[in-house]
Amino acid sequence: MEYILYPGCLSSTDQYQYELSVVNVLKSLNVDFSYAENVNCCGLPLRSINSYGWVYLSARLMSVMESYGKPCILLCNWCHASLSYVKKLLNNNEALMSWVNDLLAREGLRYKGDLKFKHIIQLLCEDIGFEMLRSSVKREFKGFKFSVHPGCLYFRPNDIGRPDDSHEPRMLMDLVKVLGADAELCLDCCGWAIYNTNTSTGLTLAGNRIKLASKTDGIVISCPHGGIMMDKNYEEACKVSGFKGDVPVLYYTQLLGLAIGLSPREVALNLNKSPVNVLTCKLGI
Amino acid sequence: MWADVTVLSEKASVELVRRLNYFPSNVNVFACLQCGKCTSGCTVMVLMENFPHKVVDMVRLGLVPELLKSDVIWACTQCQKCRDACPQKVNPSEVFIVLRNISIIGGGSVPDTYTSMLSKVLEYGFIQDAIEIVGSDSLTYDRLKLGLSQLNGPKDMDTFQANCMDAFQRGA
Repeated sequence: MEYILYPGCLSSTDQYQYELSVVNVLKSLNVDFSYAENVNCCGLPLRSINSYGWVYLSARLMSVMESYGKPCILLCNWCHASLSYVKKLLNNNEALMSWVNDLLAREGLRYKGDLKFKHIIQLLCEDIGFEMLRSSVKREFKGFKFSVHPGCLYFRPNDIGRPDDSHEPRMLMDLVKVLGADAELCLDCCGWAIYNTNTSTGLTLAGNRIKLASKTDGIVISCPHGGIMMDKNYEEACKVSGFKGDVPVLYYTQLLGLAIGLSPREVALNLNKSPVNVLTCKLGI
Repeated sequence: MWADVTVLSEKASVELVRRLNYFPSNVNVFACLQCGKCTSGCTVMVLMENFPHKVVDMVRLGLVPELLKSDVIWACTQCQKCRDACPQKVNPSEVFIVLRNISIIGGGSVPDTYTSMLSKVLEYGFIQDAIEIVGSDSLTYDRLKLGLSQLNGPKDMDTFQANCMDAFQRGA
């Protein structure tokens, strides 16, 4: 099967280690994909300003990607939740649908509602599968224990339909375990959304979350919002919450890449701001 | 900041409560039982003294104007814990969003970060332009140096911008 890839704002403008590790992992696993063009922000970060603006942006993104006739891979929990929610709203509201299609028509676009999209975590679990992953592992994480952070919008809110169970999300846990590591689950919020209006509260939430993982070998994430808050802002977040310690924070696709034999450079570990060198030292690479 | 109920009728606005349904969302404030499950699980309850069940109660009492004057509508991190916890599908996290929408469409101020993200969307299609990152090797990286393709924003930028302006200014 061939896919189209939409990395989303934060992965493609800031969290390059996520996009690059996804690209290299997909290539290693022989997954065919190409980048979607003429795309835009899903609009969810701007929903606080106006929900109509959000609906337009998500509907536009879906209508552009529908035209490829291929399933879409998303990297960001926010994009996935946004498209799921807007799809539901449009399906149940004819007036909203015709309003948005009138706007889209000015660009020659039309929202039909038949786009199939998956989060990269979902794709790894459902389309690639655990057997394939297990057989691709060249470097096992035996003896390691990771704090698994699926991120709020991967499993909440339940009423818009999420890929994983809202009380006990399993996918990211199982994906970490398939690499030979032990895993513990954390369902806390990274604080990105409040960070926009209240920096110290956002950093406190991120710092408290990092602190919870102090006895593990690191935090495994799968959403660029968590990457901004816990990896990019690692130093500040730890300072605000009074935590001193080394907790590597990395994307699951970076961990998977290392496991299937990619080099730290191929999963862009040099772009992480948290102390990921602690992890590579333990691995002896 | 909680209202004095003896002056309720002076402070209430039924019209603004109706406006909650103007925006695409999934809210149902009148189903609230005041059980407090939303507040007990709220990520920022302690840090920001946010009590979602009280906000929902104020909305259904018609005290939207009081809420719009307060910073409490911005004290939510959209983690959606309250939305999943609610036995009545009130969706407090949605109430916060819609109150923000009502505030802004009524001329209330937009937090700087949001203004900046919107202007970047109008300019590039994304909430920020691709930035340079200094790696742990002290070298500077951008998409090109990492071998990543250039960003593929909207092709017809003029129409995209005009549509955004229409959509983000729609009040009902």
